[in-house]
Amino acid sequence: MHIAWGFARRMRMYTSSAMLALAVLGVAPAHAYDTLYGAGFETVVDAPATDAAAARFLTMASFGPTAAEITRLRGIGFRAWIAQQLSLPTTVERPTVEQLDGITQVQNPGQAHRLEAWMKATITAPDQLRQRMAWALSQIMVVTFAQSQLGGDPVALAEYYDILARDSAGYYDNGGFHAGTYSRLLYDVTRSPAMGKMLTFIRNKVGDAGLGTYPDENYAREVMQLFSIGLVLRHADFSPILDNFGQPLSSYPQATVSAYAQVFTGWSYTSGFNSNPTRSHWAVADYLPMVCYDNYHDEAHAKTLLSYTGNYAVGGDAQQLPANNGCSNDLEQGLAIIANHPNVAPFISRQLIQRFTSSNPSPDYIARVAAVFADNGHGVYGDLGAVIQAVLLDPEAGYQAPPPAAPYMFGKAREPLLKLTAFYRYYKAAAANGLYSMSPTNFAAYLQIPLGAPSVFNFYMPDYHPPGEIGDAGLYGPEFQITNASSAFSTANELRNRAMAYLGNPANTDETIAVDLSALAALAGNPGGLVDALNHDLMYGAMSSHMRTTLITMVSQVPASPVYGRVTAALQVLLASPEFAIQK
Amino acid sequence: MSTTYSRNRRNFLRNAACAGLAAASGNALFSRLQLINSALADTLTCNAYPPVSDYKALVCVFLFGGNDSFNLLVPSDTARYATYSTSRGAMAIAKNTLLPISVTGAAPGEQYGLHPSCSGMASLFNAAHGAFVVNTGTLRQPTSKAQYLTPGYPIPPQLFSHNDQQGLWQYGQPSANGTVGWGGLVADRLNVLNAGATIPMSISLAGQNRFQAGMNVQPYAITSTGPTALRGYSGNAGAAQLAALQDLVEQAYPDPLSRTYASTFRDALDYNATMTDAIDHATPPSTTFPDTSLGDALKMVAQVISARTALSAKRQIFFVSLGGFDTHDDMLQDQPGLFSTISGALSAFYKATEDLGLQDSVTTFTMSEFSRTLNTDGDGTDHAWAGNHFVMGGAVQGGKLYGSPASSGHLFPELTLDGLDCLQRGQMVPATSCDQYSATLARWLGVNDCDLATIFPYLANFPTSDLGFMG
Repeated sequence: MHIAWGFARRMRMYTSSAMLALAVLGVAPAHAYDTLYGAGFETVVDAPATDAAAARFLTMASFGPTAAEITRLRGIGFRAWIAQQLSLPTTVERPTVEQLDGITQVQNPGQAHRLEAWMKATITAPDQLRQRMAWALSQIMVVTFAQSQLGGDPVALAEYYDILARDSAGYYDNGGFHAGTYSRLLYDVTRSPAMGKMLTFIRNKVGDAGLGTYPDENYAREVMQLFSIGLVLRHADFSPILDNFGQPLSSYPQATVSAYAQVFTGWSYTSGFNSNPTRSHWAVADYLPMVCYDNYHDEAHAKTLLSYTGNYAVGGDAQQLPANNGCSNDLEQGLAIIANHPNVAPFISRQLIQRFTSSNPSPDYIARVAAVFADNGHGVYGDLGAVIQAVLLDPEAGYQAPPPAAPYMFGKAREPLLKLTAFYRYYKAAAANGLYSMSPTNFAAYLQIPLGAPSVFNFYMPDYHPPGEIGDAGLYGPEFQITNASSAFSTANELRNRAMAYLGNPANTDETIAVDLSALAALAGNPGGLVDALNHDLMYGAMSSHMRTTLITMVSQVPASPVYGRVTAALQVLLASPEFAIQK
Repeated sequence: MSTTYSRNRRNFLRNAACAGLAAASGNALFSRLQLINSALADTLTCNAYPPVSDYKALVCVFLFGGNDSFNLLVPSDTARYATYSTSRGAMAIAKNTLLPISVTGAAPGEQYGLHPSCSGMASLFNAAHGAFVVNTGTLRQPTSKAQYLTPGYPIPPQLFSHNDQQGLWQYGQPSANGTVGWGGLVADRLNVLNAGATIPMSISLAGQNRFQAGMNVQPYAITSTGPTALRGYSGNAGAAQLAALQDLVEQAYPDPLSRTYASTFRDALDYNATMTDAIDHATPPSTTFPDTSLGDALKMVAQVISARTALSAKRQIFFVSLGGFDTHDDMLQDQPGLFSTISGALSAFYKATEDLGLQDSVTTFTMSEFSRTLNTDGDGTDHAWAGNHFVMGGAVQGGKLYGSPASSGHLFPELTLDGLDCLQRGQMVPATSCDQYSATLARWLGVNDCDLATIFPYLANFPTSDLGFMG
């Protein structure tokens, strides 16, 4: 391990403002991913030996391999690739969406414009790992334009996604470095107006005994249940902690939810507690972090919050915030109590593993990642860059690694939308007009619209048991929750349409996102070569010999001219196939 | 390609896949076989189902987010409305806007009204085509408020959590994260009645769901415009491409993930042509449906029902859903739209079943994970527990309220905050289990008592397994 780390010299940069901000959050300062690379004399010890091994890794760690990235990765090795990726500046979406408001032809940009920015960043951004982290986090800390009037708020949503991308690996702001930690992420997410609207605690007020009102419990409940801790206490390997009767111990009672509802009172837009900056033209208050209005905050109550051991009895060890603690203190300290709960490391680690590499990781895999979450080796808790490195480089995720002991198994269904991004990235998808216009309806064919899930429960749930042998064995398959007889076809149809838009197709328009299939077309007279190229480009060389034979037989039956006929025929079937649908 | 051939080949391939699994992964297979064996044991112990000549369907309308159903059905007599109004504060619906309903068998002096957006449901109720099952929720055994507050008393896991409580309503038992739902377990048993059918008896208009997941019978997901077709397999290369794709989805893959995807895709290929043909050749009801997502979904359900003969369907279970009920904010603004969507779509659907002459054969019912706090968080309400549910159909003994009496002794619970029947914020403690509600529906569809006891293992904890609303 030390050899691998040694080839990159690290420079740690702290600034007083960053230190101060982190101190306020109760977070230890993290090292900056501000890596300076040496003159190339380092020995690369972990370079993938084959294109297949490199492409497989990039399928997990990015939105899909490209020829250039495969070459790069093979040159510098896994750790250097990850370190470089995490040190790249964040490709952001909000400014792109926001500036459209100034353009006469657009004005009042909508979700389609935000999705355009999303697709462009996803396909072209150099900071692929950071973007992929943002995508994963957007499925854990969910905001969606399907709810809470966020449909009319694409700028706030774009900024929300940018928060996830920035906090995935840290960022510079006003000369200071903000470390990419889970604690920082939870704090920034909480102050985002998009989240404030999504889980309805923007303008949440102290209860009024006279009116018989109580603070809104929505965020209080879901921030603990979905974003951090979960409903039952967990060991570091994610297995539940059981009581004397063999039942899982609850993480917290309803009283804790009610107390956190009091913590989350008083927050609203910078433009005023009851203001609405979203209307018509965008004001910066629409996306700036919410601020606290003391007179709407619950100051009167001392708040009994979480017990890390589940001991909520009188005289137990539940942590408390005093009355009259102040609005900002309540939020910062209340969130720190959540962020430092021992459940967080296994709870978040397991979901990141599910998003990147495997639906059913072994408990040991989860525990290894959770250990890095708890301490990155430099005493930093929740270092998301270190966590994702641990996810991607775990032995269980290794190329041709032995499978974990049953019933656990390595691998996952590809997310339906990531089938498209893999296809788009390898074949350099681009439109003549420079945009990536794809309507929400097109995204809906995959049942995955970025920041457009049906609810806070995402497109699918981490604990989804697919009916049949996977569920019967007690195993999980989140992506199968959106894989049914209807969506299997709608996804296949949409991918087929995308493949038909090859560069040079006379039907293309200025805004058609075209894929460059010319290298494949050159192989049209050689069905075996064509199928081998597809295997290399899209399936990291893992295609079975049976599938190869089937595709070659099929391609041979398609007229050799026009050349794109064979290419698109093969792509259409491959993109719908079971082997492409699973990554392992 | 004949459908029969396709089905037989599939079954063969599935068995082959099982054999492959046996070689690959002992532990996973063991647990799978255990489950299958226990399911087989269940069906072997209970009586078999003789053929039927009639048609029956259950239509589940799931209201996702937690429907605030104490603003749907409101006590409107002076005394109880005053309590309602006090408890609900700003969330109360004005008394003079409530739509009066006439409740058969109501106690003297008791009056009820529906939310002003529910005129269709009020008409159905007053015509005895609809009934409410009141104060119903997830339970392990009968539970008073005092018992709920007693440490150690058995209560369902994870009350107030959306996804957990959605699961409990759908599983047919108060267990954590199940794999199968009571609709699927019913379909496992009754599928034999659809002799010759090549389409599962469970049809979903809302994708994958836990309600319809069975041990053997899985739902077929279609959309409000019908089954989704696979495109791009025509022209010069179409036949060769389709042959290749079919070959690939029928392979016996070495891992469960690939097999699961392949099986879903095979289902889609197998079912699509049959369903499309059946719908195309049937005469759908001419009923006009409201232009809402729920209206569209129920219109397609009516269309599939109109094609029942071509589908050889004697029993069917449908799942449709509507979201948006998690009204923490803006409840008074949002509720009229939500309620009028339900009411309009349900009354159109009832009319459609009349047009098909099947109003006595189709029973529609609501589910929702929980109702909401009676009191407010300012401009909405928070997660709570028991709620009121609507059942509709010619076979429903309508115009009445059903359920077990609450702790206060009244069928419709007392709404005083922190009173006999609810907690501090007006979280109602259920007097009736959702499993009693579900079992009453499953029995009507034809499930025998022996199977009911295994599908709903907690049913025996309650005084009755039949709430009486299906006669």
